[in-house]
This record gives sequence, C-alpha cells and structure tokens, in this order.
Amino acid sequence: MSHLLEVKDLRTYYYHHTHIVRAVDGLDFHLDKGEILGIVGESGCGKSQTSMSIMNLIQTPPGKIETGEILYDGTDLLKLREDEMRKIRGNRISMIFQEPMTSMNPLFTLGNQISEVLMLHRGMSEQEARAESINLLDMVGMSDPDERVDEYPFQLSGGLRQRGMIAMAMACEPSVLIADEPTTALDVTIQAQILRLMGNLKERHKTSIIFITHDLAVIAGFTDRVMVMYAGIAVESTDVKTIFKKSLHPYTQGLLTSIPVLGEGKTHADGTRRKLNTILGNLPDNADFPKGCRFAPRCSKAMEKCFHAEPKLMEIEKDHFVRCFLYHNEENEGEDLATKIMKSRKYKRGFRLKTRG
Amino acid sequence: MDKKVMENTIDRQHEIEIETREGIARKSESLWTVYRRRFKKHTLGKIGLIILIILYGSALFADILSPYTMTWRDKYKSFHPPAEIEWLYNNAEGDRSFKPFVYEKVITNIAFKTYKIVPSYTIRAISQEILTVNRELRSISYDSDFEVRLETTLENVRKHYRVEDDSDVMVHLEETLRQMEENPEKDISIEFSMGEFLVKDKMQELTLNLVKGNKNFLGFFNQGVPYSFLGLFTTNRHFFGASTGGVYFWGADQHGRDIFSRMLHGGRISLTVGIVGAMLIFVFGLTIGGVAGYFGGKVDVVLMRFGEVVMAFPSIYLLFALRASFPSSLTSSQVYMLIIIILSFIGWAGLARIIRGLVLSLKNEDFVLSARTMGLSQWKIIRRHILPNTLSFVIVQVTLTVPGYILGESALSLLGLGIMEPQSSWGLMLAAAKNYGTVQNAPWLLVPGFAIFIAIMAWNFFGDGIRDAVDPKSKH
Repeated sequence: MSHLLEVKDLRTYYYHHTHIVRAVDGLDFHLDKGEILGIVGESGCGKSQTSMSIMNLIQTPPGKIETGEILYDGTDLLKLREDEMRKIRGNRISMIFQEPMTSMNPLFTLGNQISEVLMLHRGMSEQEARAESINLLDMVGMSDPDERVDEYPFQLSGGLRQRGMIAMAMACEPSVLIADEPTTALDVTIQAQILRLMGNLKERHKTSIIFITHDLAVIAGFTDRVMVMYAGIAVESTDVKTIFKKSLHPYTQGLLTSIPVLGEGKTHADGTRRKLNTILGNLPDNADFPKGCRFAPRCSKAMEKCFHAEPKLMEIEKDHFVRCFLYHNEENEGEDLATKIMKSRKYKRGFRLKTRG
Repeated sequence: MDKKVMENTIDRQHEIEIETREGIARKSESLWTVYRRRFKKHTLGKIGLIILIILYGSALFADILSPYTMTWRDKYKSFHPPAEIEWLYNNAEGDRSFKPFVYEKVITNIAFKTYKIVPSYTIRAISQEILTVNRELRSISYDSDFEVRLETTLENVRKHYRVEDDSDVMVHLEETLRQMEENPEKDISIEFSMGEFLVKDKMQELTLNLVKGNKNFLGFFNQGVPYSFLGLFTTNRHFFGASTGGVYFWGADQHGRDIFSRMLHGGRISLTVGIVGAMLIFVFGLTIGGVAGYFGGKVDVVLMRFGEVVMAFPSIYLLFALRASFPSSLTSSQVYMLIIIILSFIGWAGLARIIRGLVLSLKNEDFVLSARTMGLSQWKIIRRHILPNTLSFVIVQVTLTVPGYILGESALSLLGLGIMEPQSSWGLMLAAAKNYGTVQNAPWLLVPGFAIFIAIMAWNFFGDGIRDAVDPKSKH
C-alpha cells in the first residue's frame, strides 16, 4: 500500500565550525490520506525541523538535508527543483505556525494575504481572490468575513489570526497540512475551537494533517496516530489509543506519567505527599549524542547493553513500532553518519575542524 | 407566562449576538490613521511641513508669483537696493489713502552703486512686450525742463518702435504727454496704444505705459514682463508687483535682475534636487540593501564592500572628478541631472547598509517563513513582505537625507560646477556673495543663503515629525 507522504531515513544536519548539530537523525514515518498524525516530543527534539525538512525550507547553509527521501504521491520532494517545489508549497502541502501573532505580515490586510496565495496557485484575478478569501474566512468560522477581510493582523485577536492562518493554509485545499504547534499560544477555549475547526476541515476536504505538539491532551483528543520523537529520532509510533493504554518505550511512559491528573489528591493512601513524576535529566546535546541508546542516561530501565549499542525501530505488534532493547534485540548497524562526515576530509578542509572542549 | 419569559430570553440573546462581535467589538484605526494622528501632535513637524508646502508651492508657481522672470534684467539697476514700501499715499487734494507704492530710483554713482529717488515730474515710458525674448523699453527722463523730458521720451520711443518722427502715432504721443504735464494730478499712468505691428507674422497691437511721477504703485495681477507659464501658454500677468516696474522686493543682483524672482525660480532646482536625489538613493538603497540582506553570503559581502569603497571616497573630490570628466558645454537640464546622479552615486551606500541590517532581522520573522511555506518566490518575498516592512524607517531616513542634497547642490553651484548662468539656483545665487566687498555693499545677496537654511531646517523638522509618528516607542 502506498502512502500519501512517506519519509524515509531523513537526516537534517546543521554544520558549524566545530561540530555538527543533528536536528533530525534518521526519521522514518508515513502519512495516509485523511489521517491525523501527531508528532510529540520535548522542545528541541527535532519536531519543527522535521516539518521544515518536508517543506524543503532548511536554511542552507548552515543546514543541510544529508540523506533521506520525502515521497509525496510517489515523487521525492528533495529531488525537485526550487521552482517545482514552490508549486507544492502552499498548494499541495501547506503549513501553519505556533505564533499567530507574528506569522502574518503586519502591513497587509487579511484578505490581501489570503488572496496572494490564491492568485499565485489558483491563478485567480484580484476580485475572484477577494471573493474566495471571504468564503474561506467564512469557512474557518469567522464572524463578519466581509468586514474581517479588510482588517490588519494587529486588529485581530490570537484566535482569529490563527483562523486566518488556517484559511490561508487551506486556500488551495492542500492534501497535507502541517500544523506546527498551532494551539500552543492560544488559551484553552480557543484551542478547542481551533481543533474542532481543523477536525471539520479534515472531514470536509479529506486533508491529511501532521500535528506537531508537546501537549499530550491535544494528541489524545485529536490525532489518529502518534509518533514520539526523542533527540531527532522516533522512539515509538503507534495509534493513539495504544499509546495511552499500552505504551512500551520508557520515554513515552515517562511522558504520560508526568501529566498531573485532576482529582488524584495530593497525598498517597499512606499519607505521604504525592509528587508528580518527572523524567530526570535533559535532552542530550544534539551535537554530541551519548553512545548507545540516546535515552539511556535518563532511562530508569536502562540495561548494560543500552550504553553500548543503539536499538533499532522495530515493529513489536501490528503498527506498533518501538526503539528499545526491552522488547527486541535488533541493533542499528553501521557507523554513525555524522561521525563519518566529521571524519571526512572534505568537512575538515571546509570547516577547519577544531577539537571540541 | 413561561413562554413569554422564554421569548424574552431568546430576544435578549439575539441582541447580545448582534452587538458583540467576536474578538474586538469596535473597529480600530488603521496604521496610517495612527501615523497621521501622531504627526499632527508634533508641532515642529507640522511647522516644517507647512514651510515645505509653501516653498514647493512657490517653486511650482514661480512663474506667476514672481514680479519679473528669471532672466529679466535692467542693466541700469545693478545692485538696486530692496524696495522700501510706502503704504499710504497723499493725493493732490492732500487726502491720505491706503495705496502701497515704491519710489522709482536711479543710479547716481556707478562705482559705489548709490541710488536716489527721481523727482516727481519724471516722465517714464515703459513698453509692454508680447514676446518673451524682447527687451522692453524703459525710458526715464527727469530733466528739470519739460521740453527736454518730452524730447528724450519721444526719441527713446521712436528708436524702440522704429517709427517715423512725423508719423501720426508720434504726433499723438506728443499731444498726450503735453496733456499729462498740464494735468494737476501728481501721479498719472496712461496706457497708450502704439498701433499695430508685425509681430511673429501677425499684426498685433502694442501698448506703451506712460507714467508721470516717481511712484510705482503695487497691485495684484499686473501686466508685466511676458513669460511662458510652465511651458503651456504665454502671458504677461504677474500675481504681484507694479506694472511700471522698478520694484525689487529683495533687491537686485549685479546684472539688475530681481533677486526675489530668481529665488522663486532657483527654488525649482534647489528644492527638487533633494527630492529626486532622495528618490534615486531610495531605489538604489532598497534594491542593493534588500538583495544583500536577504541573500546574504557572497552577494552580501560583494555589495557591502562595494558600498564601503564608495563611502570611503572623499566625496567632494569625487564630485570634482566626475563633474570634470563630463564636457562643460552641457545644457542646464543635463547639468541638473548630472548633479543628482553624482550626489546619489555617493549617497546610496549609507542607506543600503541600513536596509541590509533591517532585512537581516526581518528575514527571520515568522511571516517571511510563512510566506515561504506558501510557495512565494524569493523575489516576491523581498518585494512584498520584506521591503515594505522597512518602509517606515526608510522614509524617515530619506527625508533626513534631502537636506544633504540641497546643500550638495549649493556647494557644487558655488564652486561653479553646478547650475550655470543664466539659470538660477540658490547655490548659484549665493555664489555671487562670495566677495566680501560685494556683500558689504549689497547684503541682500545673502537672502538665498537664508532660503537654503530655512528649507533644510524645514526638512529636518518634517523628518523628525515623521520619525516620531512612525516610531512605535514614541511618546505621542
């Protein structure tokens, strides 16, 4: 079965004089038509870099997509020319951002900015584009769309602006919508509205959504499938129910137990004070990952082996992938790509490698 | 009962829905309204704007506002002092009435340029020309003997119009002059028709102003020196002045040209040099700075180093060199364009650097990233999303560079490299005041310097006002 979007062994590296930052380091996932895939993980684990890689908008230099394929409808987006890629951006794959406050140009009206996309990709005239902008604003549930269309971003509240962004992203009825923490900056009621809106739009246009967040509650309520990322790689990936009922990876389990639950009380049955579970330590430096499993230094269930070899992402049950030696024994073979690049003469010549420390 | 309560509630809900809109209920003001409101609160900025409007308006309508034309001269009025306007007039019956006038003066010492008021029995004959190129007749005769005055006048008229001594016109003219002399009124002015002459392949009637007395009465829309209004049509109506001439509000220069008229015309060059030059560096600066900032890397290095090389040039010597490399036989409009291009060639680098800095920070803004995810091309992103956001800073910057151009033009003209005679510009007019001795005798030659000063101050005030209006941190 072919997927709508398939990412294979994606590695996005940032080159510095002294080191290579591995923002995304070997990511495989897929997205089917009409599906909502949640990508969850802590800050700095490579979620946003993944979405920028799909858009092929990594700033080069210093960044570079080192290896990988991003197959959209069978074509590799990474092999497209810039002008071909521009026809896909905003048209077939579009994106909404975390900060609705800053992701609109303050100098142009809402209508202007939506029309721009419509005129670019759908070849509309200015009048048609304006009429369609009003339709789109109506579709995303804005009141008085024919008045709002002439308003500037700073005249709108955060929720309205995010609706505007969604209208802009949905303007060309894309088949993939990448939502990079679209609700993080919004309060809970607006968040619920925006999520409901995105759900409706998905139903109506059969859009597939990649939903990036670190809010597990949103994941639970909104997505179909979840991929948990840690330090640039996927550690667990399965459907949303399984994640919450029967997560396997210690990191996922750690994340789930660190959510405070209302009404649980602040003391245990024996009278001791209940503490919220936390995952000790920090995300490893993504320029210098520890040897072995990247989560091992923070893992409560780490074994001897975890510090020597890196586990491979394996399908434990049907559609349930886990990267952990607790469940299988498969190791990631071969030498690390980043290490290989660091050792290469070209890199040494180009960046005049100095020893760190 | 219950039903009614429910209906009321529904009505109320409906009302609430109508009166509150999601988000903000009141329509807030747009950016430009805010800028305008803030500018209105800036007193100095407003004063600057008003002065600029007056200056540019007078430059635009210089033709009609000036009492003479740019090149009109009276060679007997070299360094004529500024007019001393008398506001009240005593007529023959001794009644005083409001009727401003200026006494006609003649030179008494050519070396020291001293003037005296002519006697009240003076007879003047001033021709009204139709063509802009013709030099008019200005005959003044103030001999104490009437017959001598009459003879001189007749002789001058005969020479100017080239008519026979015993022709009907001349006989009639003599009669008219004798009648004027016998008239008890002190000050008389008569329009005398000289008959039809062949002018420009067409028979046209020419008139002569005959004046008895020594006063030039001021008035609006007088007939005077003919000129071509903005190149559209030829007329001889001037907004203000005396139809008999002899009025120099701010004095006359070495060649007897009216400084006021020449300043109005010179303002056209001095004031527009700044605007056109600023526009040019605006275009250069935006393009070069925008490209350097957005693309970065090698493009940035090359463009900025080039800019630094230009900035490092000693500009005044570069001006000399560039000006000298062009032939000196250029027409005045060519020189004008050359000055602008030379000045903006030196000036763009500073603006380009500022814009580059702005673009560097703007290109990392979320909305630029958002525009890229929408599939816009690089060029379109620069043009539509990045450069417009630098505009408020750039406008301020450009406004504050205009004075530099006005000064630059003055400097060039002062050094004899800019606008050349008989054209006028403030710098060129000020160049006449280079000589200390001249300034001592004719201090009114410095007036163009004050005009430059006022224009520059006005631009600076205006620029300050705009900056405060668009500055989000402004107190207003």
